[in-house]
Amino acid sequence: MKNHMKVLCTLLGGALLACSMRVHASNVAIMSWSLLDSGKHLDWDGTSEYLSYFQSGVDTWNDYKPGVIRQDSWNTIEDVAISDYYEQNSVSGYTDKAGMICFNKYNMSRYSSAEKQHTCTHELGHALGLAHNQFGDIMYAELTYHTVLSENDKASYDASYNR
Amino acid sequence: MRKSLLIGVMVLASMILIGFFLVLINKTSSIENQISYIEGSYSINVDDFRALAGDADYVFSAEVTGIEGYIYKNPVMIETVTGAKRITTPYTDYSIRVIENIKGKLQTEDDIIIQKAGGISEDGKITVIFERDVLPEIGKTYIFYAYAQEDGSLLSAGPNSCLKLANEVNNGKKKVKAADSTYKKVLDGYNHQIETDRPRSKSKYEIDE
Repeated sequence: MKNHMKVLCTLLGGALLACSMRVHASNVAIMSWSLLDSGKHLDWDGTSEYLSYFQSGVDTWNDYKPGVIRQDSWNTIEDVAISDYYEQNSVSGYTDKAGMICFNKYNMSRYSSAEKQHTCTHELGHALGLAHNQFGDIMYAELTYHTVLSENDKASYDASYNR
Repeated sequence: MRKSLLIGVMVLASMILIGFFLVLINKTSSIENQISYIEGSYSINVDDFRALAGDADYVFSAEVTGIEGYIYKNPVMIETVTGAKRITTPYTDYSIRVIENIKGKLQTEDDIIIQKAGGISEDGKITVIFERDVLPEIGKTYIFYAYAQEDGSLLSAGPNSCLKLANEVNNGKKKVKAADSTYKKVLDGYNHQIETDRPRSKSKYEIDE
């Protein structure tokens, strides 16, 4: 009887452990490119109406990996230029591997502060090499008010940074 | 002896030349096939046909009749090791003939112009396009999700904004194959569209009811 109980407890414990591992397993999604330079920095320059939200996005990523994203200075080579444009469509912002992040004023001007910050943080994520991920992540493709890095965002950033 | 040596040298030289041209041809075609995908964030779920239909001003099938030209927008200057470099986003102007209006009513009798985000980069080295989008080919039929701009022009941009369709010729007229699975999804999405509340413009190609 005692032995049966032992086996049952072990099986139950194993199942619980497997469940918790499944819950905490992160979904890593990275692109084939990033705008990080050979020194593992992302030096940005340019101007935007959404600079304060962009800076909040910079802080969000730098809180996780300090000093990676920097404003371009005289002794660094610019990796990405930011700018704004106006077009009626569903694009909030985009990142091109040629080295640009563009924000669409048509949509951005109608967004809440959290949504603007989400868009800026999301585009920075692309520049860091992250691909789209699940709902609840900064890297979810559709507009949300999430402004905090999820476990998926962090794991994807680690994977992109360490490649 | 001297003759055979000469022949040997000539054969070797020919082989080197052929090899050089083969490498060159391979390199050229790999540049032509290079596609760079733009990544973005979107105001709607761009994988949901209901959201695509509800957000667009016009949804229609059309045959591509020509390429009118390339436009380079959103220029920025970026420093590189070799100096400053201009970066732009390419757009392509297509002439199209609307086959069937699904949402909105655009003219079908004459060709109209639609601008598509994406095209050949300004330096001519690569094709740039949004993720999960296609650049239309002349003579083929597509569904377009189009947005009227303030000047009345039409723009199609972003993932799934242009979808290739199978077509058939019926009584000498090109028609979309009704059994096409993409066409069915687009129609179903339109019938259950999630309308977006946003400021809209009107196309200069729209026909008044």
